[in-house]
Amino acid sequence: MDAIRFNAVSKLFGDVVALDRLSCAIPAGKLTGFLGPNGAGKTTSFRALLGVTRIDSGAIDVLGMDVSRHAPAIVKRVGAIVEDPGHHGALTGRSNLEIAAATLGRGAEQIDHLLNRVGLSNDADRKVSGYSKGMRQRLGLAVALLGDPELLVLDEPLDGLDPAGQVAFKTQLRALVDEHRSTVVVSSHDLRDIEELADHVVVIDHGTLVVQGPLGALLESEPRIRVRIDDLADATEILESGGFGVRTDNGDLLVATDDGSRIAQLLAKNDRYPRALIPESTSLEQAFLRLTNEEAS
Amino acid sequence: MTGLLKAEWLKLSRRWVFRIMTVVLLVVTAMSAVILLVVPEVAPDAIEGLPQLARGDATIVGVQTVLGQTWFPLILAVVMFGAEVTGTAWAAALTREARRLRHVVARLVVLSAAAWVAALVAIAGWELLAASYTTGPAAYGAGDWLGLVWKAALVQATWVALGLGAVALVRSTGVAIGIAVAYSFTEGLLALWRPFGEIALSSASNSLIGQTVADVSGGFGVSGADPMVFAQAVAVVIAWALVGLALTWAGVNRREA
Repeated sequence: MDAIRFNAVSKLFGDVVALDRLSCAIPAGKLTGFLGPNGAGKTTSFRALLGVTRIDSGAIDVLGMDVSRHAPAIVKRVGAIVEDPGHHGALTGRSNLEIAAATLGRGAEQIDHLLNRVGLSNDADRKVSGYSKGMRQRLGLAVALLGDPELLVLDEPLDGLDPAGQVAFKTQLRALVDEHRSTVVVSSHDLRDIEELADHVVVIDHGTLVVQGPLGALLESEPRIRVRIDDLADATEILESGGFGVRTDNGDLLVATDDGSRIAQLLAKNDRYPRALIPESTSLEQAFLRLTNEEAS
Repeated sequence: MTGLLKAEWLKLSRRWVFRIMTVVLLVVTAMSAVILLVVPEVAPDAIEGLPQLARGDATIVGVQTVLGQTWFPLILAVVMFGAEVTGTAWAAALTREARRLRHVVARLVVLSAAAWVAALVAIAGWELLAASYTTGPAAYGAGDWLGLVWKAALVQATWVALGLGAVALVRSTGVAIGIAVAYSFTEGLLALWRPFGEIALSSASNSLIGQTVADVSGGFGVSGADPMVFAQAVAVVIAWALVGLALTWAGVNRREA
């Protein structure tokens, strides 16, 4: 079942096309990485699915309801950080949580637990204007978690967190999916974060879908083997004559196959012996760059 | 809606701005009271030409003076709402309660109530001095004082709506404060121009309160425009409140979030 579904959604800001008939789906109960270069339309997509930005055409379903008609009911079931947690800097962390709880129509029962959960118990009564970026992000997560939402939508939540904070934050996000069966959608500039975290990936560019699917399938879509060998020109000719796609990379050859034994046999038959054959998995960053470059060209 | 009202109350009560502004309002009112009530009584020749107010006029002048401090509801609205719409707090609030109109109404209700309470406190302080330093029959009976409660609420809500509209449109607290202060100080003067005086908010709010026997126009925040009949005054105040709300609505819808 899909937690979020974009159906041919378009949005223009003046002459700028932010979303161009975007269609994609985000599965329920998974952690989805929502990726795209700067200006791809990620934040607009998040704002649109929360009803903060009104779309020009198309439809967005969230938790089985149409956003244009049911936004008030939807946002009560969604926790979100979009662009910035949107705190009141002149107030304490606890006051910000109390205000958010009141806005949601909830009491203050959860607040101590949430402050503890995001590690802000000791700083709860300090003004947010004195918080570090990481503390603000953690407070944003606490606010987003108010009311135990079924769906969490987090725009660049790891931005500005120190390494320890990132690890703690990622652990919490993973636990939300693994233990609480929540649906989490995260955008991030750092693709390694998404690679570590996500079950599913949606890549958009220029406001339109590039690719979507399980992270594993995206990374395995182009298996390669790195061949360390002395005579690159000869080896390239031999492998290409054997039907392999070959290119050079940092003094090695990258061969488009997952069958290392065939490479070894073919080279040995021609008296060429590689120093090493290293199966190379595609990083999300490589896949992302390939996909967005293909899209651009 | 109850939750939104509570959230607005939390924002107001946890910040210093309302308390500081109330102190300033009380100080300004006290200064006016000293000059208009105390000085003529204890040192009649100290300020030339200043009339010695009778008890009844003193009350009306006091109410007009306090409600004439239009900077108070304007700046309160601009500062409180500006803290949200000039940053990301407004958009974040919409991710918890998507209905913009409810947000606007909650802010209007709570900020108007706060400005109203501050005004009533200042009026009470003025009345205390009026009772001590003026003589003659009182202007207001119990019914008049009860009437003042809703009239003051209506006037304060109208100025708050205009403040919300200003900051929602310009999305800059500094610029909106400038506009609000400039408008609150020039509106009373503009009201002297007869065509504008017919629809001036300060003139209408003064007319709601009542007319003094003595001529004390030009006093602290007291408009010297011709008084309106009661129905016209109510209509003008309500019309300005609707203008403020329309500006606010346009502002929160003009740009995304």
